[in-house]
Amino acid sequence: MSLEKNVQKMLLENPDPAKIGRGLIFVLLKTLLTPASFFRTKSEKRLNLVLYDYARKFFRNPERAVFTSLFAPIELVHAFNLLPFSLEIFAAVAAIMNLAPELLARAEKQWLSTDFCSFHRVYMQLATGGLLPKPAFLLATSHTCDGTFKSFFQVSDHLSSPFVFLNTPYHRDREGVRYLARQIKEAVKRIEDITGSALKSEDLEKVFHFSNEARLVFQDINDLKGSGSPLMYGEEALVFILVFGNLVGTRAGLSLFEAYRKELLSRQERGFDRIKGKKRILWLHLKPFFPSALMTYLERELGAVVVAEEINSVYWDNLNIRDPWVSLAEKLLSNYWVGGIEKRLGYIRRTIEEYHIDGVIHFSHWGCRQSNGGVRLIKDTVQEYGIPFLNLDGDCIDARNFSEAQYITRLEGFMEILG
Amino acid sequence: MLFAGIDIGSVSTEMVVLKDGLLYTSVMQQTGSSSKTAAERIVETVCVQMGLTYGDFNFVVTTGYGRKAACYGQKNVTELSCHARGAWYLNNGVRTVIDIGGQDSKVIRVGKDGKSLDFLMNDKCAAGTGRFLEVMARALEMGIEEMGDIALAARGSVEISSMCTVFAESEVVSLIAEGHPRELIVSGLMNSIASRVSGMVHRVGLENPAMLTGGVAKNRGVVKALEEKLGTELLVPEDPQIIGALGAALIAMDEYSRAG
Repeated sequence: MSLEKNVQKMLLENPDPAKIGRGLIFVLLKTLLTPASFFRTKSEKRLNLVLYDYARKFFRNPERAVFTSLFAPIELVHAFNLLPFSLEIFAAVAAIMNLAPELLARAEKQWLSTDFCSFHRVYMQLATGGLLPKPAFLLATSHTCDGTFKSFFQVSDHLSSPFVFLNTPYHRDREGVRYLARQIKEAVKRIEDITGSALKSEDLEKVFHFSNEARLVFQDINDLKGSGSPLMYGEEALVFILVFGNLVGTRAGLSLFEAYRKELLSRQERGFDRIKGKKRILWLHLKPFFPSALMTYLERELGAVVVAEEINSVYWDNLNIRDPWVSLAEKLLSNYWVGGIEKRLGYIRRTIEEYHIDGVIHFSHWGCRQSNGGVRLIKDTVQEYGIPFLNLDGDCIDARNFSEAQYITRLEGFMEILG
Repeated sequence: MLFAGIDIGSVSTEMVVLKDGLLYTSVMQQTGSSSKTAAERIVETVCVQMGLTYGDFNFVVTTGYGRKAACYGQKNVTELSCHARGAWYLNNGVRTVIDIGGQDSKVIRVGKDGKSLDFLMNDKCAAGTGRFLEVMARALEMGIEEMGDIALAARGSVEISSMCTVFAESEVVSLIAEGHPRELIVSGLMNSIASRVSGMVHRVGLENPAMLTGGVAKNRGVVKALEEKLGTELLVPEDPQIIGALGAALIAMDEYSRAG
């Protein structure tokens, strides 16, 4: 039995949150020791270490652990000196570790519809199956997907952990911002009640500072990657969400992004030319997280390089400590996947123009209706620029319906159009 | 100058040879369980038939599902580009290619230069493919080509509501048991394929003239049902199965010229 199989067996047969921590070491080693790592940035290795260190703290301090949804205002949680961890990210980690098939099978046995998003099915199994620590509370928003509330509610009910929920309105207008800001303020009170400690304004200020700095650095990273010669692979950049989803608002998150920026600047100065892809791709939405050579094949074999990723776009303004709840509400409502599609189309247009995009690929994850619902309009927008668009229907977590050969034909066909 | 294209599909393998730019010969065989063996066998057949050796070919391109498994060919190209190129060679005006193969169906928008501009492939499902027809023919205990003739003669049809091949098969068995005339069931099946494929055509955007390629194009019932759904006449080449291999052979010729 391979080492990987042994780790999977250990985790699934003897559910113990501490063992998940050891499983993360395995993921880390696997990432660090792949032959491809030689071509990757040093910062990626650092990212793995930072994430590992953070996950270890999360598992060792369940009293400080908080389950969050991917776009929840985690700055609030950090300001309480607690440890937010996105359940969607745990689902992605489970897919990376190849644990998802077993967890999905368990979900089916528990009458969870296979039409329910695989991210949710997997994290529900992780959280309720004893593979994650019991958190102090759960914090979720209703954006960008309706299933979040349902799944978080079930997890909270199962674990008897308090659930703090923010109902995100559809529009970013004055009324919408005020409605959400009021809920955020109430959420703070609720967290104070749960934790028994009052939010200190200096802690919130510090978190806002780190979040704002990270935002600026991250925009620099996007510009370094997007303009000029390719400085890193998009496959590598698509895991930034693991940091943004957990560590934004912390010194560790900021330092990590600063390290990336420094490394990319250094590559730019040295005239780095090791990435051979010539066709510049904008990647929309997510990517498959289970083991698959799809992105590697696109970027190493087919002559493409993903220079911009929608999931890494900086869509929000600086947070303002003088009006914190409104500021956080505005950040949540600025998300391209909230409300109508105009914001998203605007981002796509700007990116195509500013980063000289040659082709656009959208990965339609089975459960993400907020994204897939707009594919027709996205295609029309992309084609206004006379560049090709490829939609890949698939699943980020569930590899059971994934046929690599079918996807490779589509990618190759797309690259043949690009010429 | 000899150029060859080998299209290794899930059901059948075709090889087309061009001599001095013109169609010299074409052969079609069942793929069987191994794409590699299918390619070896078809090359051997062509070489024996035409008195050639593999070394006589100036350039060979492989395409189709098994394009990478074949030991032959200096280059492999997707069936998307090959069908576009093959159809365009037969009619330079073609702007849409609908290929219904054994395992998948695809719609390709073709540019003025015969290159693929956009495409769509069916997703993880046998609905609207040759495999669907095969399963239904078995349930109805008739041949696939016979189904086409029966559908053409049918006056009316029974609606087949299931898209899934397995469910549709059960539905067909139930309809037979309920005593529905076979010709109406067959006609319903043709409409079912046409619905599925026409949806894909509209997603890509129908631009006439459109050509139907792949083995299913030989089924006149499917052609008629699809023409009715799309509201347009479809061009059907004499040998619709070989268009992918023909395109591959033409691309082989282009590649050779480009390399000088």
